[in-house]
Amino acid sequence: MILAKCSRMLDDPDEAHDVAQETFTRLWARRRTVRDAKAVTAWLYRTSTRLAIDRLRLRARLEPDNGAEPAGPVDLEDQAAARMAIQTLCRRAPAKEMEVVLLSAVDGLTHVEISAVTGRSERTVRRLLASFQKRRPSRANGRQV
Amino acid sequence: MKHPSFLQLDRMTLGGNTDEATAHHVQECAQCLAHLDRVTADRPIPAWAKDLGNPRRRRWANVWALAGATAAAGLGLVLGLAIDTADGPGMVTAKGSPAVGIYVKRDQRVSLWDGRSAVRPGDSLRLKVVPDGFSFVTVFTRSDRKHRDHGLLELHTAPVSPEGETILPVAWRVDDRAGDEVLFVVLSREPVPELADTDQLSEWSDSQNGWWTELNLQKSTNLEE
Repeated sequence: MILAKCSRMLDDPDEAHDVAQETFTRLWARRRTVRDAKAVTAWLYRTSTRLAIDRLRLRARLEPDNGAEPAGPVDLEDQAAARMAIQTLCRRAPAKEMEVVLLSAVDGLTHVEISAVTGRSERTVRRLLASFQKRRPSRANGRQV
Repeated sequence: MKHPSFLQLDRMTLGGNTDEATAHHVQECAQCLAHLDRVTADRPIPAWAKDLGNPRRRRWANVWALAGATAAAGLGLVLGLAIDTADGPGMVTAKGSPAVGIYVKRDQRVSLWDGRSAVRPGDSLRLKVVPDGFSFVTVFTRSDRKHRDHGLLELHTAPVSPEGETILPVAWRVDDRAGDEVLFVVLSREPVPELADTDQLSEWSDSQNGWWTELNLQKSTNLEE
């Protein structure tokens, strides 16, 4: 289950395995506090998503910025497009936006479910999703900034 | 009916309750059933998972997992770093009875950090804790060294013997990026939850009667220092 979740977020299978292992290892450390299926899955989704975001940001830091950006608004209904947008926009998109987008577009969570997993209000979840969809590179004098 | 989220499907595999409409959909939907089959399929247990149950062999088996996370924080994880922990002048203590010390390995020399000296890129850091009754240790660093209010990145968490001293089984290598190294060491009686920043850490620690300290290690690139 953890590996399937991580594979949806990260297209690199090695990175997906790494994040899955880290997530499971942390779950093991907390095994005495594990309660029910709802709490466990919420914790797993939240933790694995945040670890994946760390990995995406690290990758972005190590790879040159080739300037490729989504041409228009991000279609969060398209899982592949959303994942690509996250990978190209992770340099400037806040982690909290990336978190709700991954949970929404990649995992198909409803706003209510995202709210329960992240601890943010539904209103905040909607705002973050809308903000990410509008995210575009800024351009001044024809040069990307 | 729209597909249930992967969260709902995964909860079902763990025995979580689901509504009748969702259960009916899943039974009739090849796509949802395929996902359930995938996540419930028997797989061989990887060696690193088996090691989790063996305290003697428990270690961060996949160095790249933590190297990825800790590299983002500016510290490189070093596995299996053997440090000759010769008796030093004593721990660098912070407030309260618990204590934390940092061993710094530079070239082949190991010394106990005196709380003032700068560390250098390439130095390896290893922590020794005196839990004084606490049973969990968690180590954080800042997730973004440029912004102090940008959250915490967990480097290590594990149960720890409440008695005596414990040298943590992991070490971190100092990189050459600008900015001091900052470590937050938390001792607690329960596992530390996900914490966004030091304010949350402080609140949680107070509510749980935990203990934590912030270690700021100045970084120097002057090889003569």
